[in-house]
Amino acid sequence: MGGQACVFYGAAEFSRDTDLAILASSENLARLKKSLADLKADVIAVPQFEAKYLRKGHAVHFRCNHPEALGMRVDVMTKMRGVDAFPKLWTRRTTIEVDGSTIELMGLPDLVQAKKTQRDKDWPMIRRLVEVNYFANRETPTKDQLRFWFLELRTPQLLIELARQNRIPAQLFRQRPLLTALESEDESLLAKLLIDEEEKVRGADRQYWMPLKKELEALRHARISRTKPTAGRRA
Amino acid sequence: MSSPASDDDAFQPMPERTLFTSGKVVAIYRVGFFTTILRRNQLNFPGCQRLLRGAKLCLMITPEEIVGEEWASWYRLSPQERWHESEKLWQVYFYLGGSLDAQPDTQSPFFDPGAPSMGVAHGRPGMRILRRSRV
Repeated sequence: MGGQACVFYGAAEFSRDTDLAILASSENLARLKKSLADLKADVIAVPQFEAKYLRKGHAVHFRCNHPEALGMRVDVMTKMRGVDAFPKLWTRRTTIEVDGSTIELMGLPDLVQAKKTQRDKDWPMIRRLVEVNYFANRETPTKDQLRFWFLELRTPQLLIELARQNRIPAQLFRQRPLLTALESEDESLLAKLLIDEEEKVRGADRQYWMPLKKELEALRHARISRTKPTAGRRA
Repeated sequence: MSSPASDDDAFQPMPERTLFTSGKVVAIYRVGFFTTILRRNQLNFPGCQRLLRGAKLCLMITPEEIVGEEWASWYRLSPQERWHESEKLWQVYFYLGGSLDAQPDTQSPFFDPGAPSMGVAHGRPGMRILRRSRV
């Protein structure tokens, strides 16, 4: 009756696709095309795998058909709202090794920015991402970590705790106006301000996607009309 | 409580004598600009009590208070441990016949109701539903 049951009924999900942020240079795309061909990956939705769509901010969605990766989903993107361009992301990446293979992960602060979308499910994720980092490092924080927590923590109690221990540089108040409310140590006020902050960002994401969604819609219609048999056409 | 510091980048610790404790393991003792981490077992060292006299004790929030026991124990795992636990979840997921298709995400700008689906479970082929709840 716990998490596994929630997974069974479809309410709880753990990530089953692999999201790749890539540099959209022609050489890199050629290399990626080759790797995807090795995986026998097909594009499963609009848009098609073309640099022009990636550069506009669309994602391209693949499903692998290679027996060793059967059904695996791979999403490729190159530009995300509010996230720095790829060369900067690359310098801040985290590198891990799994069973002898090297995997490059997006750095935590960049991942948090990438998660600031219009979707409900991304916001609890952001909160947890920052909380884990805070609890793991709060005893000997670096200046970068302090800045990150002041700008990204979404837990009123932890923001208050952080502010009790550190003076906040003035420029951060400009970057995140709700920090001024920390003076009051009022958790419910902070909770409300965090909701307002979230709503503002989600609204900005909806705005950002409006023209892109229209374009996707047009591409879907074009795909449907291509696949529909033409009326009146007989052999 | 914190108030705006200078415009530069520097984060300044609060100047008052404050003892922060995170419950079980360590205490952080701060006097002026100096921060000392004291292990619990060091608190009885000679001179320690005198040093701490008059310090303000602030209990640090534990993960349990914020997210409950289950999530707190997940938080406490190392990234490597979390990776391994996640691999175990995958095995159970496949055992139950879980599909690799993404859940329909109607809030995503990428959501395409017409996108083709594998339509089958990719996991253990032996998983069958023998009885369903009424709902």
